[in-house]
Amino acid sequence: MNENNVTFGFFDEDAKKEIRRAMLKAVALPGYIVPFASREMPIARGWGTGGLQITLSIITEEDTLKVIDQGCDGSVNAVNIRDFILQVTGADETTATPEATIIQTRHRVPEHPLIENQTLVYQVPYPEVLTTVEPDTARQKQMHANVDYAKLWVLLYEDTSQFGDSRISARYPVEVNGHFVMDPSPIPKYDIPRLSNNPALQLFGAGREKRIYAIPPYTEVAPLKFSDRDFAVEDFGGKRCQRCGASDVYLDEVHLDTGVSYFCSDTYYCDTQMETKDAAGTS
Amino acid sequence: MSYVAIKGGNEAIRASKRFFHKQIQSADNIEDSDIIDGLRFACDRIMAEGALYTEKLAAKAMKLCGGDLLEAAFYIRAHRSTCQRIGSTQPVAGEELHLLRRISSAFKDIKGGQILGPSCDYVIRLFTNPAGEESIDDQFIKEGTNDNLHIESALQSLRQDDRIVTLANREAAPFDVTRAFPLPPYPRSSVMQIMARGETGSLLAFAYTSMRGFGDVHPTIGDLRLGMAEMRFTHPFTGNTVTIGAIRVTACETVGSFAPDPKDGKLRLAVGFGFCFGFNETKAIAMSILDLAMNHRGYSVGGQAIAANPEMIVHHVDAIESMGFTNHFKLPHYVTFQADLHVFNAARQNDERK
Repeated sequence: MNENNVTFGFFDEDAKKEIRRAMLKAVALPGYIVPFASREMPIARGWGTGGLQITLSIITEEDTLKVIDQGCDGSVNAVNIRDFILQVTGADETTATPEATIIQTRHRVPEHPLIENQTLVYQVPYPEVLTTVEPDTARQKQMHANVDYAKLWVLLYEDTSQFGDSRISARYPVEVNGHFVMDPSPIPKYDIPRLSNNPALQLFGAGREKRIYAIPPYTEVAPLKFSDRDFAVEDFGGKRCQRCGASDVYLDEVHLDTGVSYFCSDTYYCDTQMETKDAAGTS
Repeated sequence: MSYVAIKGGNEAIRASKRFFHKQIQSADNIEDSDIIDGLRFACDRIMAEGALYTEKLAAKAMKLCGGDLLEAAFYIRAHRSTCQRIGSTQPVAGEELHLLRRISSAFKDIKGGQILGPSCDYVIRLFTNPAGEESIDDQFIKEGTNDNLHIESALQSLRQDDRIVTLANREAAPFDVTRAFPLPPYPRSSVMQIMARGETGSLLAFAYTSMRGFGDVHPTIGDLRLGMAEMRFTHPFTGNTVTIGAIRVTACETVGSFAPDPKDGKLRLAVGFGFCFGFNETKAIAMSILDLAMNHRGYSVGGQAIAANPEMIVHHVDAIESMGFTNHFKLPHYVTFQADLHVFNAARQNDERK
């Protein structure tokens, strides 16, 4: 119990145990979506309750937590979630990617490379990659069991023939460990190659849809693509962050009175670039 | 040049929360007991959709969110996640309810009689004072329920005559949707639980599709009852059965069409069941219609039966989930929208090259 009269990590011990079991199964079967009961959280469904349940089930007093939304630590939802987790655990907080042991994220993979013993927890709205082509849960399960992704390939083919490429922008389907195809959560295509062989453990939680899945460290992850087509990530045409000058990152396009500007989506990365620049400028 | 990333998030959120509380702070002057008594149907909805029977917290939740019932149910659900499960109460049978109201539209007169009890069904919805009610003798109005009033279902005689389908029970114990989420084929008990926790309006809308075009359930209410259900619990130390209280509940049995019973090919009537915390007749009736539609699909002659598809019901009637997800669209989506624009621009360039 803490000052709010809530157990450590908010929910009861049985709930945490159940979630940890689901995570163990998920890690054992990379890319396979494991159902779990999914408790209701004091934040709304669709606002990160899946990621939150994972974080609360793995966090200890010794952990250092970073929470981002759209790459930004200061985004309203990230602030809300971080405040809540700190309140019910007393863990330390940080915005520095390398200092964090657990990073909960929505829509981005941090720019700074992750290392072993770090855990990246994704908030997931649609865990089932087949939903767009097959809404029936029973048939989806069968298709995964048979590694039958024909309908996804047809979708990819139809898009490519009509539009020159897939129309999927975020949530691009990926094949994990040469077997299950999974939804990587709504991260941009820019982040997709960074899922593969990542030293960090990547856990995915969908609260509303009650599913947990995982990419264990150093696991091959490949976007679904035809062998004669390149996987094209977002191209910013050499644009630079107006604040730190970075050009090799995912940028936010911002429409101001002065016209269109670009900034790093990852605010921590932007800050570190600024520090490096300042240090270079003063020396 | 200003840096636009929203880093003042903390302060802005606190101010917004404070603004919200200030707007509805006069709710603090309302006594909980006034809400529990005077707005009991609101409390009943909050408790049923919040899936926890607690009048006190329901009243408190309503005040905290200015009367938004979905939000209030959300408070209850979140609180529920912090409560340790101690055990299960013993099953309750409909005949055991201490009745306050029991009607059947299937028969003119029934064993035990039509008991109207308190109902707004017969109220003319005008803001002016209703005439004539003062002359009614209060002898018919008693607080609470008659403890000796236990009445069997109005469909009991049809059951005894073997004229009602009895669904095969393939479950050793009821599924618990709060401890595991079911996979298809969905056990009936799991679907019933999801509906009992479901949002009244969502259940109503799905049931309505079956009534008016996308299905063929034209139900007759066999037995609708409101009453107090005693909760009996096996004492963890003494092992004795103890009554730990009584809760308001609504139960409804609805009669549908007839067809050959898969069991033996005999013609029998299909019956659906609805049940929820609190007094909420609309919800119990809607739930019984959905139960009927899902479990007697062979009886349907309609086209697309939305309400007969468990995939439709299981995933779409929970208020906490549908409301939360609908509102999440207010969260920033600029990274994904940026990615959308890139794909759109590339497709447009591809189109222009053609």
